[in-house]
Amino acid sequence: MPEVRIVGAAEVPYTRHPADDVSTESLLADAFVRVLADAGIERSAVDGLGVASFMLPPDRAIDLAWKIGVRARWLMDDGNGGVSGIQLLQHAARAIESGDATTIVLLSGDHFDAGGFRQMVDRYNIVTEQYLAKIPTGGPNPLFAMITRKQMDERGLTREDYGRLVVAQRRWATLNPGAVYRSPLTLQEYLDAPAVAEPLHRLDCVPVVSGADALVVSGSGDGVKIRALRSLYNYDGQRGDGLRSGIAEIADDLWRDAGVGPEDVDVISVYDDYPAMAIAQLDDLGLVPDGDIAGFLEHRVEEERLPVNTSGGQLSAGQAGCAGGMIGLVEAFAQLTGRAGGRQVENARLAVVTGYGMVLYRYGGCANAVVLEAP
Amino acid sequence: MSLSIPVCAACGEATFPRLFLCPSCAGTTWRYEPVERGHVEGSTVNARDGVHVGLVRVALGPLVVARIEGPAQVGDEVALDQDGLVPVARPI
Ligand SMILES: [Zn+2]
Repeated sequence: MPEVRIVGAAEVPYTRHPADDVSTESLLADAFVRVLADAGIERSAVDGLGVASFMLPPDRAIDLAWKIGVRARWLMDDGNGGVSGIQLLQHAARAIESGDATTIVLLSGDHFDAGGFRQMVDRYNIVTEQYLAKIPTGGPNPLFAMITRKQMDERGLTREDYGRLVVAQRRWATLNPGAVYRSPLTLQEYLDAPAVAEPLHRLDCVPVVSGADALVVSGSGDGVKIRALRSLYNYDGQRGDGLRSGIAEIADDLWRDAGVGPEDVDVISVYDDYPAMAIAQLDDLGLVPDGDIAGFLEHRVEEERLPVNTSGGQLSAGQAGCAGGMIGLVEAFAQLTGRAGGRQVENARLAVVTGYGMVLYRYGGCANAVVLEAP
Repeated sequence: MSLSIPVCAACGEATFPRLFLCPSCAGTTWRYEPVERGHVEGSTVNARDGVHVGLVRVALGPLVVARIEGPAQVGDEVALDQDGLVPVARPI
C-alpha cells in the first residue's frame, strides 16, 4: 500500500478587497498553479482533484478540472465548510492507498461580494432559510453569542479570557505576511471593540475575505505524514447545547491511532470561527486536563505562547469561506516542513489540526481532526 | 397563540425543527402539538438591527431558536407563537 504524504501546500493571499476580476474559480485556479509549484510537480502528474467551495456552484469540481486542465481518475466535491479540508484529505488518502489515484490536488476557497455573502448566510441550509433567516438572525453570530454566554457561565470565563486567545492569535498573525490583520492587538483594544451580539464583539467574529488554499497529496515522495485522522458527523442530532464539539467523541481514537497524546504535539490548529468554539475544541482534544480553561489561556496560551493557530487563524488571517477548513492544514504543513518564516515553531515534529462547523440549526454538526508528522 | 411542535407518533419524542426520521426510533409519522409557553435559556441582541434572538425550552423538550419580542432574561417564562415557521416568544 502506498504511503500517503502531503507533498505541497499553498495559499492565495487572503484579501478583504480583491480586484474586480477575481472570482471563486479564479482563486481556485490560482491556488492550483501555486501548489504545483510548491510541490515541484507538473500538471500532468495530477490524477485526482478535490474541491471545497460554497460559491463555486453552479460549477463543480468537474468544471474546474476542465478549466485547469486536469484529467482525473478521482474527483470529489465537498462544500462542508469548516470540516471540508480534513474531509477531502481523508478521502484523498484512502483513494491513494487503494490505488484509485496517485497524486491528488485539493483546493478550497471562496470569493464573496456583499450580496453573495448575505445570500450564503441566509441560505446556508434549508433550516436556516426556513427557521433562522426570517427571525432574522442575520447569520450565526447570535447563535454563537448564546453558546459563548453559556460557556462563560459553565466554565467561569470572562471576556478577558477569550481576549487572551484572540490577542495571542494576533501576535502570531503579526509574523504572517499573509494574514489580513497583522497589527498588534492589546487586550484593551479587544475589549473595546464594538458589540455585535453580546457577549460577542467585533474581534470575536472572523473577517470575511476572499482567498484559497491548496494541498498536494501523493503516494510517493517525501512529505508530511498522516498519523491519525478521525471524523464524526451529526454527532448529537442537535440535541445538546453545542458546548462540546464532536471532537470530544473522536479524541480518544485519534490519540490512540496516532500513538501520542495531546501533550506531545508541537503545533495546534483548531477551527476558530469563534473563540468559544476554538476553546471548546482545545478542551475536547484533551489539552486542558484539569478543566481550568481560564488558567490554560493565561498560562499556556498567553505566557508560554503555546503554538495555537500560528497563522493567526481565521480570527486574524480571515475566513475565506470553505478555505477556513484548510487554513489549519496549510499552516501545519508550513510548520512541519520548517517553512513558517518568522513564526516558525522550533523543532515542530507533530501537529494536530481540527475541523468544525456546518451549523445545522443551533450549532455545528460536523467535526474532524488529524495528527500530522514532519517528514 | 401557540407554536406547533412535531412529535413522533410512534415514541412521542418531540423535535424542532421537523425531521424526517425520528432520532430515537426511526419512526416516520409525525403529529403536531401546540405549545403555548416556554422558558428562556439564552438570549442576545443583534447590535446592528436590535433584533432579540433567544433559545427557548418548550415543555415537550426541544430547544428552539426564537425571535423574542423585547428583552428577556435566562429563566423568564415566555408566551410562544409562530410567524410562518419561525418561533416567536413574548415576555409575560
Ligand atoms: Zn420516535
